[in-house]
Amino acid sequence: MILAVALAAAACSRSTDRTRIVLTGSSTIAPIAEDLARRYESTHPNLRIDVQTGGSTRGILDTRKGLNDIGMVSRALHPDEHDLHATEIALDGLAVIVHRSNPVRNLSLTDLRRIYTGAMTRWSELGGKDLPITVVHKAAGRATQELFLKYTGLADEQIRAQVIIGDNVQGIRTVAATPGAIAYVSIGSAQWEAAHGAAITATAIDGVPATPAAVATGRYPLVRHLNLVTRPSPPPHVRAFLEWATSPETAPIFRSHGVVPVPAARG
Amino acid sequence: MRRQSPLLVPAGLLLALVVALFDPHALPIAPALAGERWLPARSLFGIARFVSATFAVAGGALVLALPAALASALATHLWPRHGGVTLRRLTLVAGAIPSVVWGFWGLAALAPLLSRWHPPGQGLLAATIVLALMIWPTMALALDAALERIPDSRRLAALSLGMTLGQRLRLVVMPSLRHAATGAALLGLTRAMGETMAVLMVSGNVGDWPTGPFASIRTVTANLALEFAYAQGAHRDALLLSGLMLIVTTTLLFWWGRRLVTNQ
Repeated sequence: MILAVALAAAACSRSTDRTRIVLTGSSTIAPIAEDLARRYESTHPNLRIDVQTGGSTRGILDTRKGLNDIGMVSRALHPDEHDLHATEIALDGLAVIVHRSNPVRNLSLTDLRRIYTGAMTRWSELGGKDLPITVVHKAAGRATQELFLKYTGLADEQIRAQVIIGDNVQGIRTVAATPGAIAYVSIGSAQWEAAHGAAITATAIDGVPATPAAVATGRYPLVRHLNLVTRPSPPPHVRAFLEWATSPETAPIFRSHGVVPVPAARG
Repeated sequence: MRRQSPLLVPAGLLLALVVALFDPHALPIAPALAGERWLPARSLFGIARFVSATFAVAGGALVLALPAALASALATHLWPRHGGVTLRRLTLVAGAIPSVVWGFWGLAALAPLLSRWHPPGQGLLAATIVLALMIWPTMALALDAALERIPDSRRLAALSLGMTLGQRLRLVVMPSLRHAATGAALLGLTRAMGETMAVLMVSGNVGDWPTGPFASIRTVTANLALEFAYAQGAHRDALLLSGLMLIVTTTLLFWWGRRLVTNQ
């Protein structure tokens, strides 16, 4: 009898104890994850979700070491990372951005290669103003930098940049303050900042506009996969969150961040 | 004992770094740091350009900020009561502005201004100006404190000798400031060398040698901030070692500067 009471008490105290889900990793996914967390917490009052940034690599490392419940990784997993279980949540495009006053609104892959290797140094060569081109590149290790190098087929040492940045916001601020600058950032970030007054605009790549719609149809070339990763066989409350995060219900949250929910057809 | 307490934090950090480095793989990397090229993907971990950029930008900031700090400390001291007090409060407020605010100002206002001469305006000069603005309050307050410590007897003696303001500055004030000025300069230098976010936002970060005002430089701290979260293995060890070197250097300079400011 006493044992039964003690067990019941223990069960009660456990159920009032709040369960936590910790997400760490990609700074591209973090704002989306925060919105997902807020929505999920409102229907699961006993659950707390913490989101911390630090880059896709941290997402992988923390997941391996068991420091988080879910890692946020804004690229496809590398071959040596398949010890982890990945859930693809969305597709994100990489926009090439220029200053709003720059009349150049379309760039070919060849143009991008020539600009980023320093073979082309003035906008007038592309029919723009007679301004020097300021090349803005990302620091090593960023998922966006990896994607850009892969798409252009360039090695990091071949890039001749004037500015190297850490995150999307720094890139957008630099381009907004420099009429001759060019950079590449997440389409979601570019759209949000442009809508809130930053003097930037996204160029088309080989005639395809940098929009979530073009990403969804698969026509836009600079696309990456946003993933949530876990150790194999995660606990039930984590699995439930992942299932909800990829359900049709969450699609509007992804769209509001300028990324395309996967599968694109859902919702 | 109390005077040593400000060293506890750097000492703790130092210990943490040494513990983090207590890994047999890390130390063999040390000689690689002497190289010129930083290309982690090719296992090249030379930080010569980053170290020279750190010294160039911190030294330049010192050259700009020291005269300004000296002038404002003297003005605080010589100005009749309320003016001096107000100026000191303003200096305190200026010293409390977070570095990210300076960095953002540099990125949004200073760099566009400098880019009229040389786009994008980010680089050695912009970083130097931002750092100078950040360190002058610290230095001005250290000098101000040293001026306050000049004994009244000496001040009154100078006045009773009928010295002019110029004579008092030259014969009484300046000689007693010599140590404090060196100390304040070292405090400013260590703050400038350790500064990360503000510099990261305006220095360009490509990693050129600091050979011109618009060289796109990367400091040791900016390199840590840009790459640490993404680094693994030897790359991470090299970053930890560069951080260890920086903290040893700044701790020594800080300790020396503090001694000069407090021991008169």
